[in-house]
Amino acid sequence: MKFKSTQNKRTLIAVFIVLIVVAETAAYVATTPRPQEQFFQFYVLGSNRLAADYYPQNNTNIHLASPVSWYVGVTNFMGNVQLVEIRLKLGNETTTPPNDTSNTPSSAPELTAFDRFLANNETWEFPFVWSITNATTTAGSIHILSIQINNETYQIPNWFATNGYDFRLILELWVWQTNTNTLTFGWNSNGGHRTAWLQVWFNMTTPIPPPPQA
Amino acid sequence: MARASDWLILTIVILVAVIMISPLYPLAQINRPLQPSFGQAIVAVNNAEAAGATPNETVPLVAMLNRALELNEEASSLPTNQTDQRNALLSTVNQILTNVTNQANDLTTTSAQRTYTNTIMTYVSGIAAAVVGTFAYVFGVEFYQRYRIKRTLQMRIKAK
Repeated sequence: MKFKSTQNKRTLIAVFIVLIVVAETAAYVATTPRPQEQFFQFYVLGSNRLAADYYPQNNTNIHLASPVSWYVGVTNFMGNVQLVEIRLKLGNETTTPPNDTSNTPSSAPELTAFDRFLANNETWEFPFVWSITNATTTAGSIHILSIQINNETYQIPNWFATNGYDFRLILELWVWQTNTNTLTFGWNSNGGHRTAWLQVWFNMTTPIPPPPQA
Repeated sequence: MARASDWLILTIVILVAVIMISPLYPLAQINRPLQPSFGQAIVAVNNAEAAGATPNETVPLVAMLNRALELNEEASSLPTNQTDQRNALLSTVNQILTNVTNQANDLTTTSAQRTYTNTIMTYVSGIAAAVVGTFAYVFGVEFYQRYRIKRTLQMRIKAK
């Protein structure tokens, strides 16, 4: 061996230290999880699973008992298992929509909600078929009385739009907060709070005969 | 030397700074008919994931949680007069959630041990790689020196 001189031993020790620093740095990088952006993907698609064909015959004017077929989906990119809830609300032209700045949900009445646990990177997509099953006309306003969603009928107390224009279905994404044990509108991510919501407008201007007098 | 009042002022300043930095979000909250055990179960599953559980290990737990969710919805949609059936369903829900929590806790333990072992092995591998690299350097230098000596001894002196 040629590493008997003091200088050569020092060289050897220096090489070993450099190699160990490089190898341990690589080990640290390999074992430390990388920070990733945490978010949800939330979407609604038309009858052909495209961002189109949201209305029958592409007519935004919905008729009574005419089924409208959509697909609603959520993908979890939060990095762990999440409990999500999609809340469906029926609004009109005066309804306050959800506010992304103040993170407040819409003031519209809630029709129903869909809950699901989602693993990381999992997408939950389900068919969403709805139709207005009962409505009435009063003083130029169309009142929607009941709506059927995925074969479940929901009664609506008193919800109307002038001349039947500008109804909207609002979908909000609510997420379970483990620190408060409650569902909240939106989720916490990277030191901030994010929200996701969708709304699809429709009209129902078709004249509807008033209900028969008793 | 700092007085007690100085420490008190410093503590108050730090607390005020923390409160000012923390974002305040007016979140609307609606209470859903979810069992409190759902919260415990999801925390247990999140702990398992944080300890290093793989998606393949957590997917069965997610499936069980979704089954519990379905049964919970079924129970809440029953008419008020069907108390026995509702109680039976809620009992099943609680049983599933207890199983999920227990399995997630076990998974947390095994995953934490596995992650710890993998971390140690990675760092030890780094040391081993450094030792192997040093030996390679030694033999490389030795080989090079032998090569240089051999070349030197093979030199021939030619008269010009």
